[in-house]
Amino acid sequence: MILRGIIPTTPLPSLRLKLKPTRNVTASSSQTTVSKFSISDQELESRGFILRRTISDLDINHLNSVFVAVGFPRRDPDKIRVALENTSSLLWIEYEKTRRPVAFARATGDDVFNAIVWDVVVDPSYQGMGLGKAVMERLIDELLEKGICNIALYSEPRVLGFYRPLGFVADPGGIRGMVYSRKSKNKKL
Amino acid sequence: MLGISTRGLKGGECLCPIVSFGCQCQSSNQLLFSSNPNYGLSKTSRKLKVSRFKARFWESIRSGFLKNNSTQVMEAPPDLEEEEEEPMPEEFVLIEKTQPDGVIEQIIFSSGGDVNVYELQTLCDKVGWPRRPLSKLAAALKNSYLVATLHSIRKSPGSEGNEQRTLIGMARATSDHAFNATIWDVLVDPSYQGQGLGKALVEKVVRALLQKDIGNISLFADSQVVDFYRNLGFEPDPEGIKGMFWHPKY
Repeated sequence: MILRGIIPTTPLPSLRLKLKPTRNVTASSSQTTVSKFSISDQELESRGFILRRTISDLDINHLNSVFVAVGFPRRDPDKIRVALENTSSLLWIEYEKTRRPVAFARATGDDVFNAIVWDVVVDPSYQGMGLGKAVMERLIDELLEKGICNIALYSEPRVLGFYRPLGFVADPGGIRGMVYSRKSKNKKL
Repeated sequence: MLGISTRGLKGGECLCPIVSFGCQCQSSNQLLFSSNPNYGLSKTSRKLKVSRFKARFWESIRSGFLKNNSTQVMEAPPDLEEEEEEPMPEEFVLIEKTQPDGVIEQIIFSSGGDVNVYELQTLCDKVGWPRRPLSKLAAALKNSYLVATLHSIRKSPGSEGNEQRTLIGMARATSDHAFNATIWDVLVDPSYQGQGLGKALVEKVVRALLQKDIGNISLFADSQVVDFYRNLGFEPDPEGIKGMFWHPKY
């Protein structure tokens, strides 16, 4: 995921929301509710952000535009569809007024032991509001509910500061993420 | 721990077998599962690069057998041409050797994924992995995109087809069937380690994934096996990208 602007090494304060992230308490009308998430579902909804957990109402081309907007290469929409159909957990946020996806994250795995999070994106026009955190917190929660406790991801260097406050640790115990490269194959021996 | 393992487990659980949708054979107390047959074979040819790698790879395997005259290393499956790569067969003999007592042993690679869950647990025990519930192992396999196994088949001379088949290696990959695949749980029976079987296993899994057009193949490697995977074409932290884990138990 690529964030616009300077990436702080400390957790992003939710200044616009007038919430204290540590307490996760929302006061609405005469009631106070405690949410396990930094921003509650209600808060998101009141600002016009709808949480979605299936691809049924997701326009792949709109999603692809968000991917491209954050710097991913434009991928074949049919392939994206196949990928999403074979993804066991995903979450996206639809902006009510435009009916378009503005945040997205998905996780693949064996649904029992391991999960890897991919394609975490927030439309650049909607960054800085905590939407990325919102989808990540809920995705992690869903994975934990399934009993999956090994949750991993590959992070570009400039967004390590986004994942750390969410509880992610780089190279724990010296484990290294590795990717197959046809180029490095030719170099060997 | 002697097994070559990629980090798929945290504290208490061993990842293992392949499970399919619907088992074909069930004996009274054994569960046999085959992997998700959900992949079509890609017609994409990988051309020279892969065949060059293959030649080097088979050389390295062959050189490991110079001491044992009765060992015969099978050539790469004959349908692999220099210029055009045919789909890798699902099952083939990797090594065949005749022991001094006349017993013929074959090491068979298979990506078809018929894995006996109990056998797999035995293998996990041998490499020292913590035990995991069998039902979870079965489910993990079922949900894996590709499961590759190595079996040892031993035939005694004159035994009239009686053969002893043992699971001696396994590797699996999860995937979204389109872009990304992640390899988990590479393990080889300690008594069969040091022969290049782990390399063979991973190399075949990578090839199978490439043939299915999965462009991004990743894994997480314990520090002591990073070089093992480097030699197979994997690069740590490409472009500074870091593997991260959520609240790891370290």
